[in-house]
Amino acid sequence: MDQKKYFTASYLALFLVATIFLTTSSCDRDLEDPAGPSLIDRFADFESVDTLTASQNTVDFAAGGTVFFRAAFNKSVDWILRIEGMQSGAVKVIEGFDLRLDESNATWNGTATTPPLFRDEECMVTLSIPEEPSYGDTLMITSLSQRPLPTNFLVTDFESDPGANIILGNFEFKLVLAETGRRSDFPAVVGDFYYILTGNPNPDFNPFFLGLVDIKSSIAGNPYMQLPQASPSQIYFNWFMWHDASPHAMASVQIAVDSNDSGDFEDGQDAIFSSENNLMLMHTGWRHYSFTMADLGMTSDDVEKIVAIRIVLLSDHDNQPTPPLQVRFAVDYLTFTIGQPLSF
Amino acid sequence: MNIQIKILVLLGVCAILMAPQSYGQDGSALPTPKEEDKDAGVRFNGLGRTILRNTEIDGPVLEADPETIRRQVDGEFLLDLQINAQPNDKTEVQSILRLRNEFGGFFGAGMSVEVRELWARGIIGNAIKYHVGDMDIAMTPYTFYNFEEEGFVNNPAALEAQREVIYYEQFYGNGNTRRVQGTKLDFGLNFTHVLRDADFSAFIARVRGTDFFTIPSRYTSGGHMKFRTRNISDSLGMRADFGFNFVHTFDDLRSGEANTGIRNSIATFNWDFRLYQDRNTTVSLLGETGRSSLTETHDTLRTALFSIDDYFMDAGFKVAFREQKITVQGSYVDIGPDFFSIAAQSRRIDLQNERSFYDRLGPDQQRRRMSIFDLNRDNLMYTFELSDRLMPYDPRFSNTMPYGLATPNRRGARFGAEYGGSEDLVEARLDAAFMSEILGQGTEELKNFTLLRAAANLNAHQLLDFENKLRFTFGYQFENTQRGGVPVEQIDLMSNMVELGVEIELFKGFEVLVGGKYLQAEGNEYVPQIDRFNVVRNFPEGYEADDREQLLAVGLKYNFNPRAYLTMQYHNFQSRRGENNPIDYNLDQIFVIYNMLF
Amino acid sequence: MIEMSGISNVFGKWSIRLAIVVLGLLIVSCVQFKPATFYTGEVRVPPPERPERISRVVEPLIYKDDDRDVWGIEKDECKEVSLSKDIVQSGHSAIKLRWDRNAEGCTWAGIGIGWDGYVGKDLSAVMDHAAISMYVRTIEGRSFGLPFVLTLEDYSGGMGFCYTGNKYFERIALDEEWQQVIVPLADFDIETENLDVSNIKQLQIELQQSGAVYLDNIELIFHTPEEREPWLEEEKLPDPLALPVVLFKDEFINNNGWGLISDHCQRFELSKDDFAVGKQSIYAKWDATGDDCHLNQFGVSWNRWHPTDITPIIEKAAIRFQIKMIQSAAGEDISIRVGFEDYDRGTTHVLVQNSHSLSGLYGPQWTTVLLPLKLFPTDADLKRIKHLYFEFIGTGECYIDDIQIVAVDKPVDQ
Repeated sequence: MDQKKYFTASYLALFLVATIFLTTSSCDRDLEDPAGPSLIDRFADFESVDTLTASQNTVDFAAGGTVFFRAAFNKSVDWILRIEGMQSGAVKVIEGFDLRLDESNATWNGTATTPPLFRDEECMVTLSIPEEPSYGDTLMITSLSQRPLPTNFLVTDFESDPGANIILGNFEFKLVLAETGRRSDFPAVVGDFYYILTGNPNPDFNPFFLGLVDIKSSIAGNPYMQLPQASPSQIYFNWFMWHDASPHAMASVQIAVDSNDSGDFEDGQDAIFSSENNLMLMHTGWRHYSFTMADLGMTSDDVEKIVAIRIVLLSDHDNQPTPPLQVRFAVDYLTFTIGQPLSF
Repeated sequence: MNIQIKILVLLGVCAILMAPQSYGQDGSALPTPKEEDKDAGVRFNGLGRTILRNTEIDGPVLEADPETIRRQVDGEFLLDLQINAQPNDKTEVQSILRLRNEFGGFFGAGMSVEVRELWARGIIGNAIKYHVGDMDIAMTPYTFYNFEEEGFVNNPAALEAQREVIYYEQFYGNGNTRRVQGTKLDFGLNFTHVLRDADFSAFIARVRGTDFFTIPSRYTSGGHMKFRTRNISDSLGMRADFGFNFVHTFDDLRSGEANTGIRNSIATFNWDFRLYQDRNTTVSLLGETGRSSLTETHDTLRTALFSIDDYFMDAGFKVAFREQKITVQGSYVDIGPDFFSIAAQSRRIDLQNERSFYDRLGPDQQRRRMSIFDLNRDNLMYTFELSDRLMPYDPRFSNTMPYGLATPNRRGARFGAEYGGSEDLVEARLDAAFMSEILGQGTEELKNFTLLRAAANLNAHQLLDFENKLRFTFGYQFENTQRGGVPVEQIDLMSNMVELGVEIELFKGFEVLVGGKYLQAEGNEYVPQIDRFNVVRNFPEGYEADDREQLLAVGLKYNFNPRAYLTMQYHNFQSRRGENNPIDYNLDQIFVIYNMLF
Repeated sequence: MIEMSGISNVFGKWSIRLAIVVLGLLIVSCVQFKPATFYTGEVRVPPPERPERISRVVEPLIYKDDDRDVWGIEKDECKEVSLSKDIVQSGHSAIKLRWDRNAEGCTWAGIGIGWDGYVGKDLSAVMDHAAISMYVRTIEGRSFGLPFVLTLEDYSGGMGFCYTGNKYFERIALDEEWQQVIVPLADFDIETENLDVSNIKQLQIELQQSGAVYLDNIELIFHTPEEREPWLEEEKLPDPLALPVVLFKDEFINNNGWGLISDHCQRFELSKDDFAVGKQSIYAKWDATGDDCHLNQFGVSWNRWHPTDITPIIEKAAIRFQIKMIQSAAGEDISIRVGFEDYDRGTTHVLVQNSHSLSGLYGPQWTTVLLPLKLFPTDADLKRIKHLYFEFIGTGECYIDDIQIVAVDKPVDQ
């Protein structure tokens, strides 16, 4: 080969090699997980590799303690860990889809999925896998204390005598006073006491409205609720409501604002904010509810002058039988939170 | 303006600028009167075809299925009239009008008239060719390529008649072309130094129309630049040919109300570097490498909803011995899991298409598995359209490369050897591929594929000094897929396919055709369910195979001349899955095809 | 509208720029468009297979005894054609022809045979495999030619021709002994008059010039043309441009040197008295001053006297030789021209000068001379060089050795 052609050939070969190199050298594939769902997860028979255990048998939630659970399977599955307080009836459910339970996905800090809150009690922990009905594993742990809830903007938890800060409105005497008021007959959400309203609808006179209770802000120590300056959409009012699944009970939770700046709640003069729809109570036991001040149409000025919380017992008259049935509910742990609903 | 359109315009402008240098150009596409006289003419050609088929079914699958009719008779009478007008040697237009009447259609029922093909083309300045309308496009196997369907190695002549009909209907031309509708521009250049010549081509085609709501129009554009060098070394016969290829498929979001669309781009470089050539031997290095990208974008959000890109490389050698008529080649391939090339990976067989006969069977009216009988018979299973997701496939027929040479997620070696020519006593071909996945599917374990394909023709009349044709044909495919891991990950699927054919020409033009085809598949596999593009959504169920399919054919064929024949054949097909399976069935078919090109 | 380009994702902007640069380079370089045509491919029709017997495709017997399909057996101004019963090659009759195209009133002479009852005959399957065989003898004397034009005519008027030159004869000339004349069908010119070989009407024998022969047994026979042996086996020559080419080292390359002669003008001979390499050199002593001393040269062909195209190496090759002066004043140019001569006697030469000496001077020691080919004027046709020559002018005496054509980029041996 003569020199010129030699160089031409060299350049071409170099060009070829360089092109291949340039095309492929910057092409390190960043291969991730295998494509598609795991075949083992999809098709392998389930096997339990490690049984359910807890990181500790007792846990002091009030001191910030946590407990986590361990278990392992041969494939990733949808698992459900259910913790139930043996006294309170509180329930915590942790769910996941994984190969194992460990600190990353099965840690419990004392919160409850379903109120009331756990207290110092024995708790039964159950691990189940819906797709594997034959599988189940349980263990017991002891909760030494209740996980404290935030008290910054607490209205009342009814643990102490409210005195004149609660005014019962028993209109047309439809409330059953023997079964109305601060009680501790069944577990409260926090502590021992709650406030229950029980009423017998009168079919002849306003069968819809049974009675109410006004809880003044002064129950928390000041005429107005001491809330930080924040958008009304960021200020939540939370409460727990108990119901016994009896039909036809409805509730309305309202906020009273001192519109006449008297410094006290004056029914008929102060503004009452309520949600458009009443709560139709169908559940059994305790349940958490919340709404924001903005949901009620309140402004920041209104928020600064909250003087009372009004809780009204209503009867779903249209659907009541004749004679109408008694209706009731209880409330506990009324509190404001900022930024998000109460986490319990 | 889209970048492809820019390139097209650029090429066009360059071509026009260079036109004054071109040979004998007259500066216009209009012919001179002399040229007009010389080449003016209208030609009428076309195809006439008659098919009459009687298909009967029986077997255990029908025992609890009183609804399925036991016999179907179908057929068609068809005339494709090709009108070709060439007013001068620089302009040509052609259309094919189809007149079709289904068997059993009377007084207009079942009759259709349609335009099957319409195009025009011309030459500008003796140098630049343009083409508008229907056209057949093929580029490289990784850019724009209508790769062969599975299930065939060396199909016996007895089974070819129906397949020829399918090929004609689906526009499967030579060179793995794909029929599209658009416009195309070609020109070439001759060089005086180093480079011998270069060919340039650019096209744009609409491959899907809009529904004016959610489906936007889809276009495929592309082109190539091919360069051929002069001999770099005369003594060695050294030469280095190379080319650049681009294909870009995109949705036009201005059409309809759709606001999401795809962009699929492939850019490759291919080469054929002849290292050595003498009178008998040629040694070449050849291959192709490139990248692809796929994005799904939102029109107003201007964000990529989905985006993948990957590369591939195919580098190999080829050695040809002219006198011995032997060619050997091999290559190493690495095609990324996310390499996505719509026009190269779209399959000819769409398993989701409903078949024209016995698509569902049995008391539950379950869909029949695709069979070698369907592959040979049913035009409705085939398509030439582009799919924007990896289409389903049947691993019994093709598991190593279900999407052709551009099958993504493959790495390994391919080998091939050829011997003889069609007129020799023996013509043979052997292909092998040893591949593995790059990315596991549902597991980190990788599948390993082994594919062997062998084909041979024996022109026995040469051996026996028989004056007419006596030809034996043979085809064989072995495919094995293995994967290790825990039992649920393990795969072991093996399939064998054998094809045997005999062609006996009793006297001039009159042939007796006998053919057989046998498929056996056994084992398990997981066939991914592709959500969209190449995303594996799920593995619906484990794919179990214990199948035996047998297709026997015998028939007579009379060739009136090389362009017209009449054939009458009997086919018997048996499908067996496992032992005494209630879904086993048999098919018997008698058909007559008269085919004439004129 | 989304303007994101997929190509730019793939190769980045560089691919587009590269394409534009390449395109630009193509435009400015020496480039021409390829002529474009619609149909570049050629449909190859496979040649028909050779039938087992000619009779399978066509009646092979054109004439034997039976004259029913023969016309032109008559006497007219040009010819006298009759059937001969006594002189036959076989059978019982032959055709006797006597003709003179120069006779007065003669415009055309010939006969025709529409064999097989004038049916349309399809010769397409045998055109490449068959020949027309006929037996011919003169009526008297010898004839070195047979001025027949065999013409096949089809039913649409197309014709194919072949002149029956003596290359088809069995012997050198026709004489009074029967001999076979075989005219392959493949030699017929069927293009000029568009003969349709699938529908042949007749064979015409057009009579040219004048002559007198008997004709018998005309038939189609299988014929395979014999391979012609080349008269001369052409020697395969080495590449004359594969450098270096050693033109002289003890002897001339291939012994293709010339001019080593001694007379009163010169004394050119091989000498072992002194040499630069090997065992001998060329001794040259000359006196070209005499009026009758015109050719004081020696030279050599290095391509066995085949023309050599030296243009590919002009830029990179040189004539190199070693010289030792015996009669010459140190520092003077020496009176030697080195040149090339082409096959049209065109010459180009260079006068050897001091600057061509690697030592700068010529004297009584061996000195290497390097003459790059690019110094040679293009007076001769450098594509057809016959030989290299050394021409000696004036007077002088020297030894010359180791004459080579070398690549100039290689170091020169001292």
